[in-house]
Amino acid sequence: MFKYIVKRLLTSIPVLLIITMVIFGVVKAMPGDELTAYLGPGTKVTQEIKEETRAKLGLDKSVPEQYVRWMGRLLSGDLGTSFTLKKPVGEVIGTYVWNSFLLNIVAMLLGLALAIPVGIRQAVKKGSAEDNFWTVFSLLGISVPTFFFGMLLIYFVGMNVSWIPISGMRDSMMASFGYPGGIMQEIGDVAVHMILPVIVLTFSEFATFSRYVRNSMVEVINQDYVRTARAKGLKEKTVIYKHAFKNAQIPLVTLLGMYIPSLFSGATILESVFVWPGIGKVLIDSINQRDTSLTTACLVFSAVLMILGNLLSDVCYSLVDPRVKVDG
Amino acid sequence: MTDEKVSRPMNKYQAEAIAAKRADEKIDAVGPWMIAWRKFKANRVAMAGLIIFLLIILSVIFVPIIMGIDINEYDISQMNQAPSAAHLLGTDAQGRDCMFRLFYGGRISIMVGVLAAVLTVIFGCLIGGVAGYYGGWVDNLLMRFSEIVYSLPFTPMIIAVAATMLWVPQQQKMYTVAMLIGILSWPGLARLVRGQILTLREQEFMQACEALGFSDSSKIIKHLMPNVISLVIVNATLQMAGAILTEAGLSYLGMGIQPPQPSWGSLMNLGRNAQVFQNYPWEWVPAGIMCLLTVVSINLIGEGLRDAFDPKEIQ
Repeated sequence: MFKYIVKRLLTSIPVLLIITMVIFGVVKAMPGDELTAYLGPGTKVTQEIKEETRAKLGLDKSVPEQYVRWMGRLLSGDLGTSFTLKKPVGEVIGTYVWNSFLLNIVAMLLGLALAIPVGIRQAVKKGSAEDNFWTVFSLLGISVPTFFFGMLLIYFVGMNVSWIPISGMRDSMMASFGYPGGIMQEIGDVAVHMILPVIVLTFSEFATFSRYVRNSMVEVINQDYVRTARAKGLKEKTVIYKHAFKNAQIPLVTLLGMYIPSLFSGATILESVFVWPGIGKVLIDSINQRDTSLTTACLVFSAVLMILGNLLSDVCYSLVDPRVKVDG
Repeated sequence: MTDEKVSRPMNKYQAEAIAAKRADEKIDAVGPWMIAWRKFKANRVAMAGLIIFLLIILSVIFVPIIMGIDINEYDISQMNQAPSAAHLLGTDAQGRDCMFRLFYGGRISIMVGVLAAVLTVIFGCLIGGVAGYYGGWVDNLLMRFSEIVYSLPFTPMIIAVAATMLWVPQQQKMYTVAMLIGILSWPGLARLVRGQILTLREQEFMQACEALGFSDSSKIIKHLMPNVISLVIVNATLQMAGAILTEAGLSYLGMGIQPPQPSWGSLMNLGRNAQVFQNYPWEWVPAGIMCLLTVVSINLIGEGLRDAFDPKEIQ
């Protein structure tokens, strides 16, 4: 197993290298002059300072040369500086990642907690009205554009229920002047801000998971060992949860393995709707403001998570299902 | 050989047996397509999806024609009007009719979905098919390539690449958006097709093709592809639903189809303006609902197709 993981990680290196090239190229191809963005639009500086800054940023070199320079710095742990936020990029990502993570982990856990019992019930009562209801409900969940659902929630709930904030992560006054009520008040404040985005995310997460649970439960529920378990006189609950569900977990765990890394990058567009200060919003803002080092770092970060997700899902697959052997 | 067969007199029993067999065939002469269609027809939910989808298609084609106004027709004196008899869904900030723009935008959104799905299918089948069929270094190379594309984070990447495409003129925007989605979505399908071809390649009918000396392209297109077509169709349907959602998201951010060109995404983009969001919901809500309805109906069709093509499902 260990050998397999090491091997997979090693083969990911060339893939990641090419991906960084693609990302770097894409970011460089974005319209707008980096230098102007760096100096701030409309700033009047002498030609000399312009040239000096250009050289300082390495913009006078060709793109491949810039890439090599950037890669060299990346390997030494320097991701560059975000000029819009005036902070090292590593620090920016380090902070915002946890905001994304907070939102996503809560939604994922809620989604799972709801999806597992619902999916199992659906499979047990396959074809019933209840099953059909949840099927349509979860289909809505995967079909609705998350940002549209978010906008509707803001429109109908946020505008009418005054204590539910519609954007941001903290109350702007208290965030800048500190929370008089201490840490508990801060937690409460963030929790209230999370309500709407978490509802949207939980809905789509619930939809994905419950479909998985239902389909894999339907597959196993007619297997012989389930019948054997019933024949042994086990309680229906034990049969379903212990014998059937255990086997139905395989695709679910594979899916979860893939999900875990994406918890850190998560909902790109939704974060913009709710002005949630996470990686997704940082990425979109950085693209709009042409903060290239930040954009590149966010994209590379997501790509690394993606590769890890694929690896993790394969590893989980073989961990859960002893029949699957990975060759080391 | 055929001459021999015809000239040889048949005995009574042989003739009867052949006649009986023909009669049987007449009754049971249903190909896989017919079986699939029968199963699909019996699936009420899927049929509902199909009907909704057809209605949406018809409405996006005919509503703008029936209304018969010009896409750029505006009337500043009529701006931000609430829905009324004259403008069933109200008007926008330039006094343009929202209903017209909703259905006209639907054409663009659906076109993007169709084009993106077609591109995904072309790339996916071509790359997956060639990799699975030839194996060896070709397979290795193509699968490495697909692994790279597969590892690109879809949403962030598509936003970033779309941001580099801002120079594309409005009219061509939908093609670039569809192209982008297609280019980033094929690896999943390519893997499926490759896996399928790998198992099919070992079967007897492929050896027969080999013995008969068919060309590679004929073997792939005529003999292997029909066996993966059901998989491809189901995948293409779901892909199309996904592409419509992606376009909506991209245009919502202002990086896909941009105003004045309407699409469901770019109409929802109007809702980013706080004033419009709060006071003129008719400018952005219907677009979201239409988009949702379309994607739901396509997903229903896709799932119906999956069940219909699934040989495990009993008729």
